[in-house]
Amino acid sequence: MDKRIKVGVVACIAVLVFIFSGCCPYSKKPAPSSKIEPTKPEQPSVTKQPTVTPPAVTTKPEPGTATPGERLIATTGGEIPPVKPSETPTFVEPSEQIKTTFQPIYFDFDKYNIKISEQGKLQTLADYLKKNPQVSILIEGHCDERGTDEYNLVLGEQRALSTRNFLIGLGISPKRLYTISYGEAKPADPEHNEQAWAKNRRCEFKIKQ
Amino acid sequence: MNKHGMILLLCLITFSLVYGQSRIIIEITSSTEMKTNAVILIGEEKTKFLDEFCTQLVKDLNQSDWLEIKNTSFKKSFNIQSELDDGLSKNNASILILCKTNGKLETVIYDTIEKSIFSQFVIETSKSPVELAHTVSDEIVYRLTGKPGIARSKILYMTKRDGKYCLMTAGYDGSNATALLKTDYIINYPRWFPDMKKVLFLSYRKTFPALEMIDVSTGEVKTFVAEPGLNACASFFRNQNCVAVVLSKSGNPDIYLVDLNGIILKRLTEKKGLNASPSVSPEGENIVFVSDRDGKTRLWVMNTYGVNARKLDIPSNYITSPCWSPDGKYIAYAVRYGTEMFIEIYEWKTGKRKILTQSLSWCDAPSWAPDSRHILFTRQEKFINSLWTIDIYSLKTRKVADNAWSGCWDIR
Repeated sequence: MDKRIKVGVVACIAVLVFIFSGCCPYSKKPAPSSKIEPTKPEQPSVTKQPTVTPPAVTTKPEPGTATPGERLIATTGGEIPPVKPSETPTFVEPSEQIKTTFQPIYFDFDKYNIKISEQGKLQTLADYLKKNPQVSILIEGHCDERGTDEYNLVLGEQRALSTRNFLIGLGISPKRLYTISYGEAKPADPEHNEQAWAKNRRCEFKIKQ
Repeated sequence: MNKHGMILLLCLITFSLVYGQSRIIIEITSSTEMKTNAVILIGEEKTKFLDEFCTQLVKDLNQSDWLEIKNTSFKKSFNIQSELDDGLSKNNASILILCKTNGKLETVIYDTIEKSIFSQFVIETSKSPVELAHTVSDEIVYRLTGKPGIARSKILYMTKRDGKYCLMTAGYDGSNATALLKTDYIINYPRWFPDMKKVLFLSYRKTFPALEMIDVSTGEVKTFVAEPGLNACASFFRNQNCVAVVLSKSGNPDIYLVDLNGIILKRLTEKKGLNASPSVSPEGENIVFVSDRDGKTRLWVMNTYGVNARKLDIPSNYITSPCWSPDGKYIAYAVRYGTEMFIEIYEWKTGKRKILTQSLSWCDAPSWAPDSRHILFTRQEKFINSLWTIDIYSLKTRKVADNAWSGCWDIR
């Protein structure tokens, strides 16, 4: 073999070995074990919704429970069911026997995300509603007096809607969940101090008669 | 003509043009408080009617804050030249207002410096002395400043009496307060319709918060918008037959355009998060509103197609209750600095800001007067609400009503 051909063959083999050995000194590929999270668009903390993984549904949903589609909508804000013009629903306080199931949930100042400390209360409520599919509830959103009046009305509504979305995410049908905001008009504690304000930033629950 | 002659002629022409155009007959902006001194002369014997008229006219003109009435007098016969001299020398007044009756009320506004008539007008006297004074005051203010007066304007506000929610209407100074509606259920946030014949308000009459309207003359209440969820925060377009409102029917509080029959025309915001309290600019081109889309409660401005939303540069994390001035120059709002809530104004063209209620306690819900000079607002002292007005130039405040909140001034 010509000497030049020999040198060429050796060079080609060397290049091939180099490529397939995966040790290119200029490679900037990360090692397989390194953990790089995909970049997510920044979301304001106040709009965070609970991440509830819907169970795999292979059959028709139980009566009074949310369909997979409704659960999906719950994370993006589902339409509120209309109340018929002729219908003026009445809502009452839960009876003493079930009052512990209907505990108010509380919020931070000017926030409407469901705090981790309050999620257990909603799970208890959702469990009750699943066992009692005939029960529909009203979620009342309230605020403390330190915000401005009209804004508090909308903030109270957003608190009620966040709570509603959380319950839909837990499998409750949106058709059973009414919302209302009273802003700062109905404080639970009429005092004017930090303790009272904390009690007033809340959602309460009533039962449809 | 030689070269020097030409230059002299040009200088003379230039001087005459400049002098002729810059001459100001009455400089109403003579002080930092935008106020000038005036005297009133009633050219008649004093009667009960004229006395009441004069008393109210003094009050109206003083509370317009454009004028400060230094003296009033009743004289059947007088020499106008000596009255003008006296007005200027004794009262330092650059304006003399002469009112004479001859079946009708004739008002002449004199410039005491130039010793000339600035303006004059005639009004029917069939009205009550108070109404007549309101009309004359507004006409004087308009002729001197080119801006609408406030004497004939009406305010709305909420109060609670005997456990009932009361929707009240009153004069600009809180006088002649009367209840338009008393309810056992919550009502709030009244707004004048542009024709001033109806009032829109939030109502819990049918359990859920809806927008209802009351006919001022008949007292008839009708539903305006009652979509599922919240229906609130109305702001009327002045020259178009629609209103911006907040509805939560989509599962999120968003701003919508609704026509005067309550029919939804368009959804303007679709961002996640809270969108509230729209206020439409006087030309109907822009809407300022509250949103927490960037994580903080701030003011944003979008056009009336719902696009080009941009944040106003105000260094606070809690800014609410925006209200665009009728002349379009300012946006008033409630802003939290530290632990206090203030009323502040934002100059639309320059972005300059001015806190109005620096020395006052917690303040909210600003509403502009038709003169774009005064603002009605709720003040909370020891957790009790009252209604006040403030002059944006002098920062002078006046209490309008006790135990009152959610004031709304008409914007005719």
